[in-house]
Amino acid sequence: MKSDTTRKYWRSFDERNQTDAYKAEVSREFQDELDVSTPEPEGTSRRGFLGWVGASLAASGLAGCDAIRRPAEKILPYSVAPEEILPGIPQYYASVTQVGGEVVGVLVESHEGRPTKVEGNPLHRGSLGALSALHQSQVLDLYDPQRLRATAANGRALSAAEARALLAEKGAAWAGKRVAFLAEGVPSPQLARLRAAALARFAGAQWFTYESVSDDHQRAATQAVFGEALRPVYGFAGAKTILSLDADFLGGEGPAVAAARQWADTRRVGANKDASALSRLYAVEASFSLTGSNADHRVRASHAQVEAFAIAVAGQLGVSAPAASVVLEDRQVKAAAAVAADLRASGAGALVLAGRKQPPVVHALAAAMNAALGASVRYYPDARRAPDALGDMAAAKALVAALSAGEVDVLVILGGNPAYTFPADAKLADAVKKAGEVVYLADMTNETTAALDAAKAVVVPRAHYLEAWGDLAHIDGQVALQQPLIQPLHAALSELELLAALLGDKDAKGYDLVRGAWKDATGAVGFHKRWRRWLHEGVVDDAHAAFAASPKAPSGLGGLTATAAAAPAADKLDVLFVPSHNLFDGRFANNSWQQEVPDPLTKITWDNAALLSPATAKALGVVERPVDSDFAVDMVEVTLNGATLKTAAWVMPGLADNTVVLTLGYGREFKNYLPYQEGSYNDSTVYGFDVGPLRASAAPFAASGAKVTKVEGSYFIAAVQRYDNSRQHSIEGFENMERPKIVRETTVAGYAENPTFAKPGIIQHGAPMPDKTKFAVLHPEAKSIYGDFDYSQGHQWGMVIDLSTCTGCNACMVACVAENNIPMVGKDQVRRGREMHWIRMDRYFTGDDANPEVVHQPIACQQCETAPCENVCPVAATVHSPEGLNDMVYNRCIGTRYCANNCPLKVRRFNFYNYSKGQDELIHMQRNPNVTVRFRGVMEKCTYCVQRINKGKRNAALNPEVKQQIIDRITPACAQGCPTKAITFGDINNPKSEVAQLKAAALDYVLLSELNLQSRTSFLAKVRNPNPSFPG
Amino acid sequence: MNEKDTNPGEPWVFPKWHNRIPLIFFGVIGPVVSVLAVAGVWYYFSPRFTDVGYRPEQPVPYSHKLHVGELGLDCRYCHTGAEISSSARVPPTQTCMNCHTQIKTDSPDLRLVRESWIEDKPVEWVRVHKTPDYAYFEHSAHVQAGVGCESCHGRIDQMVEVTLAEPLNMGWCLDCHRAPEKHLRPASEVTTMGYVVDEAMGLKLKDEKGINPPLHWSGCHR
Repeated sequence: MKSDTTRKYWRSFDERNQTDAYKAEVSREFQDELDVSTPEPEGTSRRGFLGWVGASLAASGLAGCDAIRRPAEKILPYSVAPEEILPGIPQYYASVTQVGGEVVGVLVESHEGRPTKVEGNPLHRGSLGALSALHQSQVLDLYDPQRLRATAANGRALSAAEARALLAEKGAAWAGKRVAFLAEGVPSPQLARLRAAALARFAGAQWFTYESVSDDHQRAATQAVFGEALRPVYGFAGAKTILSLDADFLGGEGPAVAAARQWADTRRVGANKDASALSRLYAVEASFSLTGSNADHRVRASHAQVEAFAIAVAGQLGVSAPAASVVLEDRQVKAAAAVAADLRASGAGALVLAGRKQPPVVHALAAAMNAALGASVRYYPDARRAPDALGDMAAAKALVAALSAGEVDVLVILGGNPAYTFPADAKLADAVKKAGEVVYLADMTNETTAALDAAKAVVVPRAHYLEAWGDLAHIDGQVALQQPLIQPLHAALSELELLAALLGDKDAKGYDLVRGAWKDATGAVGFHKRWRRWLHEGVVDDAHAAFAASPKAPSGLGGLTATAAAAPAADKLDVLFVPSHNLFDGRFANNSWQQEVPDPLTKITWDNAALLSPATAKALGVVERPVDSDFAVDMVEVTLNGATLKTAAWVMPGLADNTVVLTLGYGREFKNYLPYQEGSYNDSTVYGFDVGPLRASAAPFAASGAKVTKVEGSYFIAAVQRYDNSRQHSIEGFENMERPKIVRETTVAGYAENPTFAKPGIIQHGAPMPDKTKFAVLHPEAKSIYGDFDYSQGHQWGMVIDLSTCTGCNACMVACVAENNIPMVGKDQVRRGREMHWIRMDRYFTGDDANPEVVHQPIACQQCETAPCENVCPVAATVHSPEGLNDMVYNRCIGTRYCANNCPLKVRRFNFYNYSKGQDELIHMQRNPNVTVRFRGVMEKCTYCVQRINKGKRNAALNPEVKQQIIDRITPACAQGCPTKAITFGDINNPKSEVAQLKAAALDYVLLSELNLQSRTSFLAKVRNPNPSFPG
Repeated sequence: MNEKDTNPGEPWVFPKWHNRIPLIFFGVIGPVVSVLAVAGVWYYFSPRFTDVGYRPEQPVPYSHKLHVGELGLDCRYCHTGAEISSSARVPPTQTCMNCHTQIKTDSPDLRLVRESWIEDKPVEWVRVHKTPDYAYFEHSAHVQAGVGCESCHGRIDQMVEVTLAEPLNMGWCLDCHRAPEKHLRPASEVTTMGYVVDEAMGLKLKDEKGINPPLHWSGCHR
């Protein structure tokens, strides 16, 4: 593949097609601002404010010098200080959390009792020290002002103890009644214990487990081939060839955080001379997943063709497979042959993964192929529900049927939001009114609370995981203890406490429930010490794992046959339902961090849209996003089985044709207050489109036979992939100036041929490489306008980002938001180009727009030694530190924005408004006390987490004997949170540091080296590992 | 009309000495007033005038003079953590009650302290020493380097009520950051009141400990 020199990278269709409108847009450098007259929040107008300023100045003159003094500030010390709390030194506690049943161990940072940031627990096998964006954003939910505050009963708010007493009273009265429980798929040993107790206590009670993002198909397949419901755990270590059959294992299917780390470890080139040991990833899919965007070969196939592809590969691996019901295209047949040959050659180093959207037969085929290849896959029992329980969709239907038939006297809903997440043919909203009585443990008022009959329902606020005791089992059985960091902020109960109260134990506290059960299970001898150690480490000894790997081997396909499916056509489109990368199943809809972080592939914030392939869009008359700053897109109407949905349309390269991809989780109210949110202030706002009405329990992830038509109207989308981003290379004319590319990539073969291809100024394979930058070669006399500063002394901080392992998952963006008090600005402000994220995840497409390849590139301030921003500031508000940091002096900044103009990478962010204004004080509790909350009118940008650097230096000075170890462990939030360890940070003056060694690697390059920026952040060029014999 | 002021027979004119009025005004009064104005603003608008001497009334009439100066308590008995944390905490009520459960158990001055102890609610002290929110003062770094408590907080042992002794503005910080040797003392003398700094000793300590106070923004701000 000689594409390194000829490749074009593009972020939008207009850029690719070099339309006139696009060129006009980029030639203005900054995106045209929308009408800037954002209405001020209610209260004082600008004019009124100035008037008051004048009046108060005059008044202060009259009042004399006393008025100059700051208002007196109070210091409120503890009455009795907790022994371990010393103001100014944060505490860290281990705990555990889950999203949709995927468990990760966490370490929580707490400042004087306020949990502010969550990081991964390296000892937990679901985390390995990192977290996904979703897991990190959960800390904001703790402080959500919209959370329920108390149980309302008899017209008054109950305390937690009163709520427990009420529940115990209710539970006592339920003898002989028909009780049904509805729970989320939470793999908690204690929940399982109380579930068994509840089923024993209430004779004839039914327990339903429902997760909208369901693994039903995997469950059905393992039931068929193993005889019990199992979940596969893939051994990525040592994997050579990985085939993903629509499995987004990097984007949230299964234990994605750990899988991403283990996969990335097989993809790291770093300073190695030899890249031939890299693993190879094939992805076959109809939608465009994060995994597909990181694949070496992505085979575009319609949903049914994925199954046919699996059958074709299985056939060549000697696995007896049924006949496929759809035909593969010629290129897919060849691809299947190449993939099968590669898998066979890898033997035990092969892995085949089946995705949750695929029918059970594909999961069975994957299991059979893995068994035939001797692949490293282990199967564990699914602890998210009782072994004999119904699957998710069946449970939803059974519950609604029972409710409708009036067979449920009491319904207990343990969390979740079933009225929103249930499939369309099992509408809980109507049926739930027929229950005699409902107890609902809820986070906040939502679709389900609205559906309840208030007279018959008790809504109990649910405790956040940082407020409650519990335990969770990882997919491989490793148990971690959920340890609270804070007393419940409101009169909230956990699932365990609610169940215990219903069972009659009205004084049950989570701590006693969990500790008592573990004491009973592991024996009283030495328990206290053991318990303390488990809490400290965050994980329970493996001797007490919740379950062990199943010894069973798959037996054939368990009688599963090919799905009867037809290829999609222009009048019968396939509809795919994918969980949102940002809102999951909708549970993060009120979380502004997740709303504002862009989707990794579409780069849409605050919304979802119906994704269509370019060819399908063209056939429907849907235009690609026009180049105007209004971001208005066309609307389409999707009709499926009689239900219709009107939604915005978005053209997404790489999708299968005649397929429409709908994202779950949207169309819900965002109830929180953002000062400059679109719409009138303090009003709740609905973002995106609820695709639930189209989603049937029979086809929760893929349906066919949909009709899509373009309809009148347009919709504003706030997408962040615009043209003001380091766009020097993006007008083709500029490329004649031989500017080196922003993204540089090669293949394993190309790397062997020319390891230093990515070095500054060199973009040609095999071309001679001068030692200096192209710029220096062209202009030998040119010198920096800065004097030479000696950076050879002391610590000099630097960063290396490995493009081979960056998956574009956004975990770094959210880590940065949590660490640096970055404000969320709302959809309207994002549309105006005012998002405040210090890290921008750039997503480049390259190649054919029917099936492009993707490069993800996180860009933050590069801390240039000769920073162009510094010499244009009229007030010296951005200056250099002797350790090589480009410091931003907030209280000196007067907001000219000259620095942002002059930054070639466009990484500076300006506070157009006081984005923190008027927010509930609860949200302030999340703020990191070590970072300034910026005010209106100042510029801000990445600081390399200077607060962490300073803390590390201080701790090193206090502990001289381990000084070097402490300095080596200084890690900014982004590098800490990265699941794949793609970001490396450290002291580049220390030749032994990892960062210095990576900077010496052949693949290392800096952006815009021709500008002689001397950036401290550099990138390791991406190395793909394509199969040379793969059909082109 | 006074004969002396005018020359007879000449037109009615201003007396001659009036010519000197502009000279006096611009040459003498003007400069004096300007200098006074500049000097006045320089001094009276600076924290050295506006802030130094700030002595708010505290809810409990705690006397540092008695506890430190006369009884000889070490600073760190109450302000624990100053050597390891960014903040030197104001002591919890518990610290007061360590002694005052036995001494002066019914003193009316200690009423609020006893209330705090019984009702588990904080005593609301008024803050005297405050740097702006964007300045992150680090007690541990200064104490470990050997900057005495006295350097910033003054002669606490002589204060009945705590008074702001130094302006705590950035110029004042930088004076010391530029010449730390004038304020460094051996570790054993950090809490000593009235210690006279020996600049030669300061230089020696600076070299020994490798003290190089930051003068750049991110050293103290984030």
